[in-house]
Amino acid sequence: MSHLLTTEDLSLTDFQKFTELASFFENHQKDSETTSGILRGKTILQLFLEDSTRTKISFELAAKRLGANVLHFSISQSSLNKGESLKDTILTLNQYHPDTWIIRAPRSGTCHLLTQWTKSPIVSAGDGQYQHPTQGLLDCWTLLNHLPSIKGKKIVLLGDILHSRVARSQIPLLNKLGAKITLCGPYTLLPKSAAEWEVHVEPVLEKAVAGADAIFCFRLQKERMTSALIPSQQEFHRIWGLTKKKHHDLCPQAWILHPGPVNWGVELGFDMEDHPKSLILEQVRRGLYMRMAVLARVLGKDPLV
Amino acid sequence: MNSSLLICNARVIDPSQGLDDQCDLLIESGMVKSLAKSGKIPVASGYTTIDVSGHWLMPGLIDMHVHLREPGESHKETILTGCLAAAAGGFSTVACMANTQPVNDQAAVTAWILREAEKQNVKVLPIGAVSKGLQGEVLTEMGEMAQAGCVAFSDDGRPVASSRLMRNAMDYAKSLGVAIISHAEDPTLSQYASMHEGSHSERLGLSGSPSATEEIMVAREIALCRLTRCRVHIAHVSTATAVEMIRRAKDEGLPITAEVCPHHLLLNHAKVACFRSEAKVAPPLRDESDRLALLDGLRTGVIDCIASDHAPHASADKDAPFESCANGITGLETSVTSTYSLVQNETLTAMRWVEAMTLAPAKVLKIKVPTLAVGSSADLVLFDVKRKWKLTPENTLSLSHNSPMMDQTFTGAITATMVGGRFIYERK
Ligand SMILES: [Zn+2]
Repeated sequence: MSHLLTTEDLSLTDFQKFTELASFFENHQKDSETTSGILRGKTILQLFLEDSTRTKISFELAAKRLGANVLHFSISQSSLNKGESLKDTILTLNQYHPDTWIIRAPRSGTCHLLTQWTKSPIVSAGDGQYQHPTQGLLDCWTLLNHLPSIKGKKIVLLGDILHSRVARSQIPLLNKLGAKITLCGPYTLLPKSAAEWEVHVEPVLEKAVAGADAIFCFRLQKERMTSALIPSQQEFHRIWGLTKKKHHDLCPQAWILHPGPVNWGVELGFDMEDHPKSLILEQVRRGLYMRMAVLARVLGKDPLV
Repeated sequence: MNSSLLICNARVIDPSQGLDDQCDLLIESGMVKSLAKSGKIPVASGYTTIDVSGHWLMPGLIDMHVHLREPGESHKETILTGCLAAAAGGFSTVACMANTQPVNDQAAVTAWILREAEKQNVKVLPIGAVSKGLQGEVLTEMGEMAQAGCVAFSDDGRPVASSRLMRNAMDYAKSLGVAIISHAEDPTLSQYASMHEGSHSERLGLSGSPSATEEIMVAREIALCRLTRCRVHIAHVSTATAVEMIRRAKDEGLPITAEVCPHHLLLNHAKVACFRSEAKVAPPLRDESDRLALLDGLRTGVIDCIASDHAPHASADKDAPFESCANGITGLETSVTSTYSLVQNETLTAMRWVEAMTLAPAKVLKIKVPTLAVGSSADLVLFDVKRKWKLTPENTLSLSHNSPMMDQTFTGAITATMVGGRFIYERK
């Protein structure tokens, strides 16, 4: 396969290949002889145009577990604004012949732009508000380990969907898996063209989450207040924050997922930490194996093929 | 030119005379000497005769909305290269917007542009800024600028945010008899936006500018037009509701005119996927329903003119993530050819199409109406309706290549543009 920029064009078969390989790596986590040779001699270039310690570590560890050489290059948006050209940066780094790129960018579409300037495959590690495909893959895989089939299940995406690259990566996969998706949040944070996303929209939390099988929550960015999309974090929490009581009363069976880092007391109540239905730390753990699977497949080194 | 040139067997389309017929045209000393049905002009010795069967012959076309980038940004375009592109696109007159560096906000800049323009084969008509430095605060010396040669006033590229300033600009322009051209966009609603707000922007994770951004300002301009009775021209109309508002304002008898760009007539926001920077433009490519309403508006004359909004940008300005790259599409070389498809598919009559690039913009700018009437200067364009042609980076005459129509094959090509009896462009 070539790039991994979006989950929109992944088939169910593609998804299954990723999850099978991720499970394989999970089962062989102690068996470094099997895994550490898979990407030996490969150079993986991590280019981060925006800070993200968690994603960086997850990808870096995934690459190292497979035996690849990892180079990390960070360049801030501010130096790009000062005229250091993105194209120039890519052409320069091309000279080290990376076998693949892992790219994190604050502006939507940066990964597509960069494909013009390099021949090596690009794996998106979060592309503006557009896509975060590995997160979408690992979230669905994590949930599948608790709900053997997602078909017909009620999955609620709660909070800031409009600006979420994670939601954009989850929705196409959840749709292909046959989930019944409901988006919930204030209309300022929901897409207007939801009908085309094949999802249901319900701004009232109590109605949206009632009987849900899983709830995907999203981080509420501080800028949503400064850009007047919501009045305050406190009000957001009162109306759209998920608390232990709401969970217990409305959807006690629902699994809770969040891509992290969580704003405790905003999208999730403080009393949701260590909740028995929370899969948040499991997402982090599984993220490593899913990223190993993605790197191996993108580089044509899937040991199961 | 001393010799006489007889152009035979053209389909002559001249809205100024309501003429659409198979004709011959005789040119002497740079003037139209006679125009008659094919075969009716007796051939005398000494005539150079060219047979242009299969061609349409039209008066010299006007593109009333272009950005020539000089002074100040000659890496994007110069008055010279812009005029070469215009001639290749069939235009013998262009009106250039004021958002240069420095801004054309005083008579000295207008005079500089006109001095450069004098060396060109294409007539360049400067449009002056409404506000000093396009800052939207203080009116420019419109009177002196009009005297220096500005044909209209606009802060195009930026909306005039203050309604009070716009009202004053209209009152003042009315006393001078010139039109105000409005780039209708509510800047507070379009803040952060890089494309049309709709299914594509939401899928791509890009902040969008809803159609209301334009409609709010068109509503304001209509209200101010009603208040001031100044002639107001709405640039690059892009939404269905704006077309409907302009239709009603015209029915009411207000002195409102409007233009539409080829890209809004021919493309919709799907063209942006996936993040094609050549398709980033303000106002943005909108929904298919908007596009269809624009076609209808142009067909019925609610929208008067076709104008390219030729906005050249260097590749470095477009080689950036979609949100941060420049707005603008080049259009001088593709405007005629691309919109000819609307005549082919019978959306527009040939007469309406030519009118939208001759009579209509001339009326807005109050300049001489392009005509092939006997006794007028031989300014004309020849269009081969069968010839297949495409714009490529290699054959582009503009300095810039930022067009979503690049490498698209069109049927119909400008084969020659003539000014004063002299060919200023001939396609090989
Ligand atoms: Zn404009």
